Amino acid sequence: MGIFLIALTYFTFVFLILMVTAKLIKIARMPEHLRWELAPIPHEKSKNKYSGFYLEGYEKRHKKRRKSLVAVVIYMAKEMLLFKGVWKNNRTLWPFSFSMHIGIYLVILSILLYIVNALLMITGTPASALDALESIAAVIALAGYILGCFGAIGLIFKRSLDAGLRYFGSLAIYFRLIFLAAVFISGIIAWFNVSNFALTMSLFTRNLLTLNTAITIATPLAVHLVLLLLFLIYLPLTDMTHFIIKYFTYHAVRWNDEPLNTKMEAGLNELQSQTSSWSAPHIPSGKTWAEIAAEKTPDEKAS
Amino acid sequence: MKKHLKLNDISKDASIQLNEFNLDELMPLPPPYDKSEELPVVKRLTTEQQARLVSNLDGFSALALPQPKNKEEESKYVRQFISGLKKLLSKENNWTFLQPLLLSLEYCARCQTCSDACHVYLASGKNDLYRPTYRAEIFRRLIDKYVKRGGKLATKLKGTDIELNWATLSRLYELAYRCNLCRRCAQTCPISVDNALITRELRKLFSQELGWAPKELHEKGTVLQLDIGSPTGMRPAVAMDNVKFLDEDFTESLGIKVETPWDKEGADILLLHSAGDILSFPESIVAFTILCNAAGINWTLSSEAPGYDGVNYGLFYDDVQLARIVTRHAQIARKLKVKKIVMGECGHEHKALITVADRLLTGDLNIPRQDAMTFLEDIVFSGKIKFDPAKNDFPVTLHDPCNIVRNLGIVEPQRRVLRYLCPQFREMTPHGVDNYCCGGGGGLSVISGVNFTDWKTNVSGRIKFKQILEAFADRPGPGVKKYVAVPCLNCKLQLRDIFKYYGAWEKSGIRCGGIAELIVNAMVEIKKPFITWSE
Amino acid sequence: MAKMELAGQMLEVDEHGFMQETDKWNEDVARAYALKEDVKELTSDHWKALNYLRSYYLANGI
Repeated sequence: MGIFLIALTYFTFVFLILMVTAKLIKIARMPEHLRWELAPIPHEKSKNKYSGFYLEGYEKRHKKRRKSLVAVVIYMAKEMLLFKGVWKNNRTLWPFSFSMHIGIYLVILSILLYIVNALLMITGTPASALDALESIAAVIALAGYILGCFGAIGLIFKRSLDAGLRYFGSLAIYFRLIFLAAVFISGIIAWFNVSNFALTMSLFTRNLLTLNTAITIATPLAVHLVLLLLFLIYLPLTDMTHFIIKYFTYHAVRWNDEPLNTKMEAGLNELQSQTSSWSAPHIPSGKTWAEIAAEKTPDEKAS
Repeated sequence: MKKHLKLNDISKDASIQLNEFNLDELMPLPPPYDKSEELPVVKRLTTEQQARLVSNLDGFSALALPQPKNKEEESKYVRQFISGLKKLLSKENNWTFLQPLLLSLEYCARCQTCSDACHVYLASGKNDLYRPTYRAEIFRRLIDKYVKRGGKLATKLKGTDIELNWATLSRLYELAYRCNLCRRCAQTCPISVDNALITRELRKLFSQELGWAPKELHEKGTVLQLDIGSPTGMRPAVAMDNVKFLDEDFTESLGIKVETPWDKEGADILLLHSAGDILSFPESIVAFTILCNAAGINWTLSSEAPGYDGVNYGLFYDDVQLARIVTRHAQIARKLKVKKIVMGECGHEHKALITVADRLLTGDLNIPRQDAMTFLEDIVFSGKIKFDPAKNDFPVTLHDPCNIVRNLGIVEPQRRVLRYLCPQFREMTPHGVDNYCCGGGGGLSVISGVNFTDWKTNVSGRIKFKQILEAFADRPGPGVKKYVAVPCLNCKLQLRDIFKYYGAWEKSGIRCGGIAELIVNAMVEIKKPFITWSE
Repeated sequence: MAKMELAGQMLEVDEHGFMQETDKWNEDVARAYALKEDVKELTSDHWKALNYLRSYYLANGI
């Protein structure tokens, strides 16, 4: 049992990291695209800022663009922690979406605390000193499981009962919500079944880090761990990876107002030298993008 | 209870209309526009038109698509559509928007948050057909089925397969033109999926692969502009002639010299109007001439086709035409050796030429471009012209064109001008980057189709009309003349259609016009009022 | 392409009823259009305006 769980855990994390990295690389490698930004852009620091950006201060703009990282972080925090967009525009969905995501965050936080705890154990910190940490982790874990459960199950009902959402659903969407709910429910069951949940999880983590397979895990906890790990293997195969792909949808597209520079130009010239194979009558076949764009130019030498 | 549309209803029976238009379902308007008996009857297709044209979507035809002759023709189009889908997802054929498109296709959580942000969806009384996600999700599922490997089996197992037949194709084509590309949906999406982008890609597929596009955008739009200079049909000589006439006419009526310079080599600024203003809102053209001259600016217009018309309908439906027109505009500026191109009061021109074109105009075509809002603001606050704001003492509100405000983030300069020069200026709610589209965006303003204008005035323009009425609610009625400042020709044309349809001039005394006219109206030097109250 | 009967011919028109084959215009076609607009007879003032606009269009394409 111990070997199986430890092996599965390592496999899961390696798989997860590899798959997510592969997805990120695939997206990052896509060609430079035309500008398609959308206001408000938080990183704009221009004095004319209302929700605008550097174009507003055209003549007065500084030689060097000033971008604010802090504003971006604050904006992303409001979105990721408070789900401001959903609150404003889809309020009946908000309680469930918010709880589910906060549940996930809290569970992740509790796992991080187990890791900290495990490291402290390995370095020989006395067990009594870790009590406080374990209590906090235990509370966070339970809160996470309960909120997450409420959110996931709530979403299953909301999506099937709300006519606006129902017809856009698919088996895949329900499957992942049911799977996630199962993870949270098994978490609650395990939490109440094990006498000191956070301590047990920390010990398991310690054994993971030290590759010590001699552990005994109660069945409910084992079930929870297996469900959790299988879910993490399933995750990168779906669009649940939006949690990290959002970096691209925001920074590479929506907030990408980077003006033309020499490096970009070289890449763009190369892209324009590709051949288009579109079939419409107004597009000549076998020509490059650059040739097609210049096609309607009158002969400048003749004029 | 209104019935809900399923996604694969789109592929059912091509001869039946998918959705019946019902005035009672629409969002109510405030009085005196709340009585449907007092409004013009909505124009329907004649029996002859119904026999000859496809009208299987919602009773309106924006595209006058002819019925196919036989099954072979239908299959041909379906095959072309699939081949177009593949090209849309390839680097060689769609490098221009590949990354944004793939991100939007892959990461939608189907939460419908975007629907409640869409003015078309809301105005229609929450009709599923007009959800940003309805066409986007169908598009996504078609790609899953017909382009992804093993798609046919996978979608069948997942229960997400939609058949691509003539019904689906012909309906999607019309449905792609029920969106204003305003991108409010993209703004509200927590993941930043962009349904307006997907709609544009759908239009692009039809245009670049099948050669299908609305006549007003393509044949009489970009093609005509590249051929003779302007979608209005004005050749250079006609445009110059018209502007010369305006110069003479206003010189006589205003008592100051109004003279527009043409083809001045080495000028600081090439001003790029939307040539439609010459025909539809000539005061705008004259206002710019007066302001540039009074401020002592070294400027010029260009008479080389298409250098006197800044529109670029390619932005709405076709990357090839978009690229061709921005290239011509930049070449003309380069040849004239001007230091900068300044946009006129035209919304999509700003987005096409300032930001989207930024990665198309490389090398010495990368000439500096400036928006009209900061340009006008600089003139007003330069101190070179004396103004008397009391001359603009009537209710004024501002409509924010999506392409200038939501897409380029230029929000304050025009407001500083209006707050200074218009004592009764008030905002609409919401405004700025949260504004609603006028209903004419995405090229819809210039598309009349068969009976499409009635859809635009009733559905896509509904919320904007309501906003305008609410902004002027403190001074209702035709006795007080009211001005909606609109720095975009396509928006002005749409608002003009709306006001005409509802009788807004007769019932409420509302007209629209640009910002330049308001500025000139406040000039001390001009004794006669520049804005004439007639519409 | 839609068709409309004008002055005894079936002429090509667009969806709003405007003639597409401008070379097929003649004075009878003008009278047929006038009837559709409830104008029973075209006066000399009508013809002045008509002919001016036509010649401008033929010269300038707009």
